[in-house]
Parts: sequence; structure tokens; C-alpha cells
Amino acid sequence: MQYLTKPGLTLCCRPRCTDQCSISIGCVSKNEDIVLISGFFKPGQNWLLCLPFVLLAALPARAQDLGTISPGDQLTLPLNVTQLDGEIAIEIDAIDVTELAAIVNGQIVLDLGGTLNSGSHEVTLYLFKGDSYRILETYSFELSGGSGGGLFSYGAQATHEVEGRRVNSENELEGSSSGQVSLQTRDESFSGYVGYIASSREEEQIDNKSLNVTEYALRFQHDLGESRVSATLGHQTLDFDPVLVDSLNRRGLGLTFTSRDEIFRADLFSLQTQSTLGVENFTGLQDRDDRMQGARLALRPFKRADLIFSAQVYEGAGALFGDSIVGEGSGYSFGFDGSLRDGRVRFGAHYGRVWWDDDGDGPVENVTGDAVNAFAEYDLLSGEETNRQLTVGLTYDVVDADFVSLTNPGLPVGHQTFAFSANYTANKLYLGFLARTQETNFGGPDELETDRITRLQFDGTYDFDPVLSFETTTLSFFAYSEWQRRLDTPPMALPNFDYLDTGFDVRLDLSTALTQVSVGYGLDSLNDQNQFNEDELRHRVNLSLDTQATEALYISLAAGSEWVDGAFDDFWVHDVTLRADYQTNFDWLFGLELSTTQTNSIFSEDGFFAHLEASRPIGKFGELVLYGTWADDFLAVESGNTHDAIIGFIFRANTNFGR
Amino acid sequence: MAVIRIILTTFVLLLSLQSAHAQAVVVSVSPAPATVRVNPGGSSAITVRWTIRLNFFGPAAETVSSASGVTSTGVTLGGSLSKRVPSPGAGQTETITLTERLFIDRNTAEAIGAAGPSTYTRSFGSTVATNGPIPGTISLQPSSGGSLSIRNLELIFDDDSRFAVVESGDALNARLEISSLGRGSFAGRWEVSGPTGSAAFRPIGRVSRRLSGAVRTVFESPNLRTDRPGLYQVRFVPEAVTLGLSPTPLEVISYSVVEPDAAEPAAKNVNLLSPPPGFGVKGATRFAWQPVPGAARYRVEFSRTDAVGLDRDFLAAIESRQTSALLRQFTLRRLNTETRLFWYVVAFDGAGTPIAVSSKRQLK
Repeated sequence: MQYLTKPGLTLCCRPRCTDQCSISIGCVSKNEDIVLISGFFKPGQNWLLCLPFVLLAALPARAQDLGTISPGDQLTLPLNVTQLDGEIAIEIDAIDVTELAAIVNGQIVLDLGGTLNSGSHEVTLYLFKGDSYRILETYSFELSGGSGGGLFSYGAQATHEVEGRRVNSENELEGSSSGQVSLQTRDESFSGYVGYIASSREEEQIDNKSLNVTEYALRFQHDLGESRVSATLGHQTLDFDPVLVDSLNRRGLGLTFTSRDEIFRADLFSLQTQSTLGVENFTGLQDRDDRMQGARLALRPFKRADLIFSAQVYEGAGALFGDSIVGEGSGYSFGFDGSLRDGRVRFGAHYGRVWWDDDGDGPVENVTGDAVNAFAEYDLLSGEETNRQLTVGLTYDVVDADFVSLTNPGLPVGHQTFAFSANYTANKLYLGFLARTQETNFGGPDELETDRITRLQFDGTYDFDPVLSFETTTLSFFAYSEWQRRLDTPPMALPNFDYLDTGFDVRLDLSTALTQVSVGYGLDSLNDQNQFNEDELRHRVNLSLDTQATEALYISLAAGSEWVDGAFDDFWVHDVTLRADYQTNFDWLFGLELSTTQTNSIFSEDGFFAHLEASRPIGKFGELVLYGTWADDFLAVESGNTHDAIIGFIFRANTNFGR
Repeated sequence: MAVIRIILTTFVLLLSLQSAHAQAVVVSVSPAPATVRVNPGGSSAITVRWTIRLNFFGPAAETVSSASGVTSTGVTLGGSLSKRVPSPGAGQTETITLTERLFIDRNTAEAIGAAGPSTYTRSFGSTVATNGPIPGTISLQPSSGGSLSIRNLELIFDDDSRFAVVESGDALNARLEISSLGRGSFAGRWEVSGPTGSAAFRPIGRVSRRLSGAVRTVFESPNLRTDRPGLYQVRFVPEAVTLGLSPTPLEVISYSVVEPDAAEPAAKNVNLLSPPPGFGVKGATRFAWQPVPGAARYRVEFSRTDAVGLDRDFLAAIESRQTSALLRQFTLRRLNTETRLFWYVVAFDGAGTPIAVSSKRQLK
């Protein structure tokens, strides 16, 4: 084991270990951070088997308490800043309030302005010097009263309806109610919401139940000195790293421990593998074959920098998209991300390995996959200095074809990709450029071919000065070119699938205070350069208009057309929807919607839809709606026939209070 | 004897009736394309065009049909195909085309990948019993560059929920996230039904994009209608020509539009100026908006979602008395790890009461 005696980072391991190796990362900063993490791994498994764990983390001193402040008071920070060399920035909780501060008699005075909630708050004072910054001091204070008494705040938002109608020759009486209720303690130790839907209409029901919950979440938070523990039961989103646990919105239980200064964070989770609603498996933990659990440890060893090391593990069982068979999987990942030079350089890298058994105890062989994601971005021009900004970035992504993770089901697999991006903004101009090259079948079967797909993409917007009476006029464009070339053709593989695909979109958006107009055109051209020769040409035109024509009349028009010259079908399709609302001065609101779709495609059909309604308020929270609907063919979906004629009424009531 | 006579007469009558209907025989079946690429990495759908030649020996129409097809790995695929063909005249030949959407689920695709080159055979016949169905066969070739295959698909709202509750006038969009392999056109339409009185699904926007290689693609719906209270439903329907999905509606998600709290005055709008949508999170970015009459200060708030759920609170914010604000490094640090971010501006009066709010604009 080896320690550093000056600021820095070390990594040590015994390279000739026989059955177990140890790995340690240690750092000591000039300030007060002393952190040591350690773990071990086995030969043959290549990488860490167990997560690093914290042996020691010397946390910084407690924030200085400034006592209780009234909402209208100014907050004075007891620090003489006249002798400081550099620029000061101030944060209250996660709000940058630097621009609201003034220096009075050498001390910083903050005008709270009544925008903060009552309760405890933390002030962080940063000192910027050149491209680096450090935390100078932290304070805490209590903001009294102000936002009403009581231990709880609560709210409810819902809409309730009773509907009677005649569909062709059948009478129906339906009802529904949907919305959500929320509850939160003033000290934020508990917050939660539950959504629900109650409906007699089968197509609106969840799991064929006339009353069911939709999404819900209950969160408990508890402060442990400088740290915080929170537990969430219900729907939650996890975005831990780009490799193993990403873009995950599922129901279950999550636990988080965070040190108050964010030096250390630990997460535990147990979630459903499928995205579901309803009371069935309410906790998300009740089905062994639809559950995954895992953990993350994240460490920010240097208090003055945002360099974060993290490690993730998971294991679980569930069915993949499109599968009915339950498989079992596990995996781990680790990596880091952070920034330098006042955030102008941003970087990160993560590695992950997963194991997947597609059929439990069945005959299908288990697979193992590795994945790496690394990126770096640099602001060549910074908006702070020039009002112009130019950012360039590099990304490297490699994912084996057998990388199957229940906790990141949307990760594209079987590729090695390099990408270069550049973004430029000035006052009214934005330009973006992307160059990407991808090798396919990475980590895939040897008998399959390998191709290289290269893509160049260019997009941008320009805000014109006011044109005619339009306050904003924005031109947007998007153009791309993509081609595929064969790299390797194994003996049994098909000949090349080379192609060249090009296209562009142009859109003009104009708006006044009362009118928005959008016009767009797009073209895609595929030149198939292989034996299949499936060339395709697509043209698209879109137009939309929203206008408050008069104080009483609102009109919305949307029209779109597409022409396709394809390999298997040449067709066109046109959609037009017109909506108009007219508010009379005797409380009635008249609404009209006309919609039509026309096509000559052999795979689709024409349709027509007309809806006329009249509504008026009933009391403070109610509304009566009388309506008639006429629908044909493609847009007639109520009765299952090719034509629907519907007349009906709705009594609708509304609930909205609190929040 | 009389009984035997009746039976024979009936039999002859039945034969004559049969021959009256049997007007043509299938003489050849040829599929196009002859070879189809199957991506073993996920479910996929393939368009096959069957060209069938019939010899007519009578003046009446004939029906050509096929119950289903079968792969050489033993899996039955495809539904019933049939077409009634008018007779061009006795002794004449007629050629017809039947187009099939062949949906290959992930398990079948994997099995073909494991088995290597395979076949798919479908037999077509007419009502002529003496001439058996004629088979046509296409080759199924496992290929990494094969038909577009979908590995994962999620339909959700912008705030990651699958059931949203919004106030009338709020901005709301749905998002279709797909992870795909292989190559093909992805086309379809966004459809919305509601409010309750107008329950029919109507198209509100179309999508068509060619996808290649291993990519994760997000399709954002047009702005969803929130001007009238009630219950709405949103769905995405892939076009039948889309390679990769069966042409049936994907999952439906719902949202409920409620009237704003009557006790709260209607909020004014803050118009955002820059940066443009999708700009990303970068150091020293300046956020700008148009001034609001009566506003004493503004707050730029960053959130990972739109409106619903526990994560509705902002992740970080910047307060300013001006109509622009600069993103500093410590705020950037809070936002860097987020994969999806929105920003919006709240205007406060001198007492700290919110008086206007902007729509949410996506940063990344």
C-alpha cells in the first residue's frame, strides 16, 4: 500500500499476484481532503470483482452558522473580501446568486428578494483565479416563516367527466376521472405524489381495472449531520453512467447517501425491469423474474474540482424487449468525469462488463460483453469573453454485440464509433457539425460481415431581425450525408450493402405576439449501391399556422405532405387538420376540428374527421360540452365500422389546488 | 338401389359444382427479393412480394391463397394471404402480386443467426384440389447489416413519465426512443385522441428517417394539444413500409389536462432568446430572454424533466436582475452528469412572487 504525501493521485497494485490482487487509489490535497479507496480483483476475471470502498474520508469542517434571517432581511457574509486576489462567486444551495451581491464595507451583502423558501439554506463562497476556482467558505442560515404555516403542503390536480353519447345507433354512458395528488412536508423530509385514472372506458383503463394508480413516488429524506440519506419508493429515473445504468425510468426502491459537500455519494436500487403502471406489483419488488438491483459509489476526491470517480454494479432477471423468455444478467462499470479550466474542458471515460444468460437454466450459451465510452470537449471560444462560443468535442464509443444490460436496455450494441463535433454560437447564429464513423458487428459473430458507416451532419439556426410585423424570424436547417463501405466479407456472408444517403431539412418559423407560422421542406435520397438496389426518394412539406385572429377567434392549421418513391411502394400521403375556437360574449365557446388524411399507399387508407362542440362553464369548476363527431374510414375508430356518427354531452369538473 | 343412385347423383353434382368454381391452377410462385437479410440482433420485419402465375381454364374468378409460411428452423411465420383473381378467359394466363409483411421476432432472428443461412417457404394454391399448392422460397441470410431491427423501444413523455398531468396551456411532448441495429427506413405517424369528446385518433405529425448501424434515436412528437381540459391519449403508429416494426400501434400513453388553479392569476410568458434548443451544456454559456414588465429579478432554472413527479424541482439555477445570465463552473458541475436537461426562466416581482414563466427549452 502506498500513500501520497503531496496533492495528487496514485494507483498501485501488485502485478504478480496469484489468486487475488489489491488495488488502491489515494489522494491528499493541500486543503483538508484525505481520501483512500481500495478494492481487489481476481486473475482471469480481468477486472474488479468488488467495488472500491471508502476507508477514510476526512470531511471538511462544518459550515459557519449565520443564525436565523427574516425573508425581507439582507444576508451579510462575515468575511472581509477586500484583500482577496481573484473574483468571487456565491451560491445559495444550488442557485448562483453572484449577480445579486454587493460589497458593503468589505463584506458581501446579499439581497434575498423573497424568492427562497423558508427553512435551512447553505451559502458557498467561491474564489475564481484565472481558470481555476476553489471554495473559500461555506455558511448556513435559517430563513424564517414566509411561506405559510403548517407541517405539510399538499395539492391535487384532476379532471372528472361524465359523458353520454350515441355512436351510430348505440347509446353509451361513460365516466372518467384522472389526475394526481401530492404531499410534502415543509422541511422536505417527505415528498410524494400518486397519479390515478378511473374510467369506464376500457381503452383508457390500466390492466382492465376501472380504477388504478398510474405513476407514484414517495421520497423520505433525513439529514445526518453533514450528510443526507434519502429513500424513494415508486417511479424514479436513474442516469448513473453512459455504459451500465442509463436512461432508466422504472418503479422500485432507491436509497441514496450523499455527503453534504457532495464528496461522496452512494446509491442502492432495486427496480422492475419493465416499465409499468398500475397496482400490480405496486412496489416493483414483488416479481423475482422482473427485478434488478444494483449500486453506485461516486467520489469527488478534490473539493475544489468536479472530478468524480464512480463505480456501478447490477444483477437481475427479466425479459428483453421483444422477448417472452426471462433471462438473467449482471455487470459492473467504473469511470470518471470532470472538467478543467473553469469548465471549458470537459471529459469523462467509463468502462463496463456484463454477463447475460438468455434462458436461465436453458441450453442457450451465456454471453459476455464489454463497453467503453469516453469523451472530451473544449470551449475554444468562451462566451464570457467574446459573446461567441465555439466548442469542439471528441467521443469514442465501443460496445460488444453481446453487451446486454437490463439497466441500460437502450444502449446500441455491436459497434465501434468515433465522433467529432463542433458547435458555434454568436448572438443570432448557431452552427453545429458532426462527423461520425462507425464499424459494425464489433464483438459479433465472425461469420457476419463488417462495414463502416460514416456520417457528416450540419445543422444551424439564424434569428433574423424583425421582418414585417413578425417579432421573431428563425431559419433552421439540417443536412446530412451518410455512406456505408464494406470492410470484411467472410465466406458465407452476403456481398456488400454499400449505399449513399443524403438529405436536408429547412424550416422557417415566424411569430408575432398572436401568430406563429412555420413552413418546412425536407428531402431524403438513398442511392443503394449494392445488388438490392433499393433506391428511395422522399420529399416532405409541412405548414403550420396558429393565430389569435381576433380576441374571440383562435385558428390553428397544420398540413403535411410526403411523396415517396420507394423500392416496394411509390405513394403520397397528405394530412390536414384545421381547428377553430370562437368565444362568444355569452359564455359559450364553440370549437371546430376538421381533419383529413389522403393517400394512395397500398398499406394505408384515406380518412376524414369532423368535430363540432359547444361548451360553457358551469359554476366555478365545471363545464358542459355538447358535441357531434363525424368520421370516415381511417379516422373512424370508435365503432369498428368504416363510419362513425357521434353526438354527445360531457359534464366536466376540475380540481386544482395546493401544489 | 335407389339409395345408391341418389348417392352417385349427389356425388356427380358435387363434382360438377366443384369444377364450376375451380377455374385456374397456380403454375409458379416467385418471391422478391430472393434473398432477405435478417439481423440476428433483434426483431425485424421484412417486405416480401410474391409473384404468382395462374393458368385459367374457365371464365369465372379464382381465389389464390396461402395460410402461412415456415422457416427452415421450423417456425411458422406470416398470416393468411389471399386474392380473388378475375379470369382473363379460358386458356389464358394471369400474373398477380401479393405483398407480405413478414415479422420476425427476436427469438426467431436469434435462431436464424445461430443456424446460419436459412429459408422461408410459403405455398400458394387455388381451389383446384387436384393441383397441390406451389411453394416459393426465399433465402434468409443472417447479416449485421440486415433489416432494421429494434432492440429496445420506449414511448414516454418529456418528463420521463408514462402518465402526465399538466395544466391547460402547458407545453407537453411525447418521446419515442428506439435503439436499433441494421439498416432501413423508420417511418410512422404521431396520433392523438381526445379530449374525451373527440376520442378518435388523428395524426398530428409524421416521421420518416433512415437508420443505419447501431444507434439510439429519439423522435420527439409535435406539441401535444393542452388547450382544452380532459383526458388524452398519444401513440406512435409505424408505417407499414417501415422495415423493423409491425404496422400496429405501439403502446398508448395518456395525459390529463386540468384547468389552472383558479386562485392563481394566469402567468405571463417569458420569451427565451438563446441558446437554441439542443445546444448542450457548456462552460460560460450566456442564457438570454426578453424582459417582462414588472419583473424585479429573474431565475434561470435547470431541470431534468418537464413538470411531473418528484424530480420536478430544479437541479441548479442562476438569479439575475438582468435579462441574461452566465453559466459558471460550479453550476456546470451540477449539470454535467445529466443526460437530459431543460432550462426555463421565472420572473419575480419585488416581493419575490413569480409573475411570469417561460416554456421549457431542451438543452440536451
